[in-house]
Amino acid sequence: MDGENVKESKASRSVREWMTKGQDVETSKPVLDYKKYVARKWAFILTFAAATFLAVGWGMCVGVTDITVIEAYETLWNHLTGNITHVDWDYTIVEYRLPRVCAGLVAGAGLATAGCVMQSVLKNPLADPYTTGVSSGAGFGATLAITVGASVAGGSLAIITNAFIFSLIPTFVIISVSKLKKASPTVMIMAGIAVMYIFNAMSTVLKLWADPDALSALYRWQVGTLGGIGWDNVQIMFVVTLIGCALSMALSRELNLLSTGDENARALGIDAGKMRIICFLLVALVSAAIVSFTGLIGFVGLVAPHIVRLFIGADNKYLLPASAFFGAALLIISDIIGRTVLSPTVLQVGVITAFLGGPMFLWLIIRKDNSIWG
Amino acid sequence: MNQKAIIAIVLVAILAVAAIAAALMLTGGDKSSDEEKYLATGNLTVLGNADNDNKLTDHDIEIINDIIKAGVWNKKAYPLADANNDGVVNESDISYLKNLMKGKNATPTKMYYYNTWNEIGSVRFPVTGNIGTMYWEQADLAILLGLWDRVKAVGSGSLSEEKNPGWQSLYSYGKGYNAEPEVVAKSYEAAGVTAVIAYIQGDGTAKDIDAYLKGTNSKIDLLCLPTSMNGRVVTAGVLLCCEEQSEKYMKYYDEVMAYVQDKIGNVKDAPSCVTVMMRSTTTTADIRFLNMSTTGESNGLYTYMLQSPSEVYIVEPTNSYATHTDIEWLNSKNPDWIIFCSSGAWTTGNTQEQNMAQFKQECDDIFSSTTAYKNKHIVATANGTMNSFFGCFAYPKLLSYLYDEIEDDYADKMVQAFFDEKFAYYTLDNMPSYQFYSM
Repeated sequence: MDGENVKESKASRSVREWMTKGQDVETSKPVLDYKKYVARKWAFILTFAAATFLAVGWGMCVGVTDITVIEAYETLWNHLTGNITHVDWDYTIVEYRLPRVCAGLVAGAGLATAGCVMQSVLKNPLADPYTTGVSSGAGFGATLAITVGASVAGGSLAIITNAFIFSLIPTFVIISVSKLKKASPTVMIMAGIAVMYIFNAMSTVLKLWADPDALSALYRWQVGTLGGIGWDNVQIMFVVTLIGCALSMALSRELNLLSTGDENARALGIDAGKMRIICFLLVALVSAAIVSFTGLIGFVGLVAPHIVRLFIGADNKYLLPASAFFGAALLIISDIIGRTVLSPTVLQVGVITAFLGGPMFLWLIIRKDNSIWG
Repeated sequence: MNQKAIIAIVLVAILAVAAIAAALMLTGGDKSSDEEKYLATGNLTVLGNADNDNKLTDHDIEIINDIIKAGVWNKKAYPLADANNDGVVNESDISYLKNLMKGKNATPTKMYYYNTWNEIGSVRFPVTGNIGTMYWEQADLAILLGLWDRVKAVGSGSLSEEKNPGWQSLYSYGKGYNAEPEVVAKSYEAAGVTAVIAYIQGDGTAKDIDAYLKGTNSKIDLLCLPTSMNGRVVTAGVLLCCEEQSEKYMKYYDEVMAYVQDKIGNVKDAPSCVTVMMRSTTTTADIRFLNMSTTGESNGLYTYMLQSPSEVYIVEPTNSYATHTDIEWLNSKNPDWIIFCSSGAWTTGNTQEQNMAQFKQECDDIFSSTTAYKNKHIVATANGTMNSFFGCFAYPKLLSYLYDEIEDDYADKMVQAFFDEKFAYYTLDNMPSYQFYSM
């Protein structure tokens, strides 16, 4: 073949020009294009972060007591500097509204991150903490405490402690199944669904013994709520979620490799089986810590990563933090909607996320590339 | 990152969280059992009620005097002697109690009482301003105590014009019983409310509301009353300065229980029965029997029937408000009578004829294989009859079906007395589901 007659691509012309003219690598077009591409991703992440910040501000203003955004942040600042001027505003913002908003922020970020990790690990768009049975295990633990009074802890800690301990059981079941059958991602999801059905059935049996008080409390917990969460609960949620999310982001490269398939991952030095187990443990840790306090809030872990992928793409290095911010904003805004749409009656946040998430997910399924389902 | 290191970090994190949970378990939890010995056991849980009866009287002052003279306060015997809640019983408690006994004319002060959770709550006494009620049960209590004109804010769930005239023009806490604290607090500005009768069941938000009102220095006091029905009536009567009405109610209650004991207390061969909760979903394969529970202990059909000589068949376990079983179990027990409360199956809009038709249909569908059905020994009424303040007035009427010794005239007189004394606004004519239906 005569080299002078070969048609040259744009990219190779740029490289040739650089090589022949001694251009700086940093200013070559492919590199600039790539930098723009990365900058766009960071711009989206910052946009989602800004949306979260605004949602927090809005969350602090929503309520019967009229307080503007500026006044809310001013009250917060006065509280932090020990210069409280309005005692009732201080209590309303700091002790009543802000714990709820922060719970939404932490729970939303944690559930979205957990969902993102699950979807990467299992290469399955339906994967999230709920389809792995984690939430059902937590639900059974709570049901046990509420209806029968059987709990590891006593008093007001009964439900929370039970939910946490029982949410770890499905995780270990799935890990055990994976070891026994050298399970593929599909088998693992099916094991999670099987565990979910078992725990749901056990919860239903327990409800037969429930009195109206217990059934009502159980309903609120199973629907998912940010109400009644105080600063002591938020602290625990925050610490555990931060650990889980930070570790997940540190594993973003490994997650990317896992999502290309087990063979590719092994070829690049990743033990796919072990990595999957680590990810499961992280998801269980984060999900259990959140669900123990909020009850079962659905769709955040499922929908948030999908929405974010439309803007960011599938690179977990950017997808994870963006999903965390988006999930946080989504949950806070859902709670605001629940508190205002039928005011003074409050719709629990789990109802709102189901209303928002269900149609959103249907839309995603319809427009989704079929190759994902292969 | 090294995989072993990551596994190690994750395991440490799990252990750390487990340790936190364990620490919470060890440091949290209920109060020590020693405190339970000093709790109020009667109906009136107001501090100052030294003799633990239903009133604040001179006899309470006498007891406090005796304690002062003795120099020792037996907290177990007289848990309510410390009227001013300062931890000691002395002359200041006597002057404090004397002021409380002035009722509406008392010098403003705090009245302390043991609340729903057996903690000491307080109200700014005397309570003469507007009132809020968080749910229908609390609205019923306000009406019973003659306070409906002062109710300016309501939880609007299950209210009706027949039972709660004018409710729609009142400030609303929302449809459910879990009112938001800010909404409750706003009722001071919006409706001049200074005291709210709280919904106190276990799934309510009363504790959150109480904390919010205290944290914001609200002018509203949340009344978290004792869990027993009579405790609510008597304690609210004193806290809200309407003892006349609460004492009137208790007088009827005592009279009815004395009458029942007198007429049938020694009856041999009392008819047996089962108490059933009928819902629109009830089938022969799934019948719900009323049992004992924290709710059932305080009020309700089952509790009333336990005070009669009848054997009331129940389904184990007995730690639940209701357990489910089927027609085979019912036939195996073969009770003489089936008594059912209809919950959700009879709408308040039904006429008496419609209720009767529905009652007959339910008997045919569910109980036709039973001996009680064949003997026409089935009686029914709405859940609101037997599980509300109307219950004790309706009790003789219910028993009159099972026992010939209970006079029909007396039973009907008691039912009518509930309405004549204005303990409720509705009548059996405009609330026909509250009537009794028999085969």
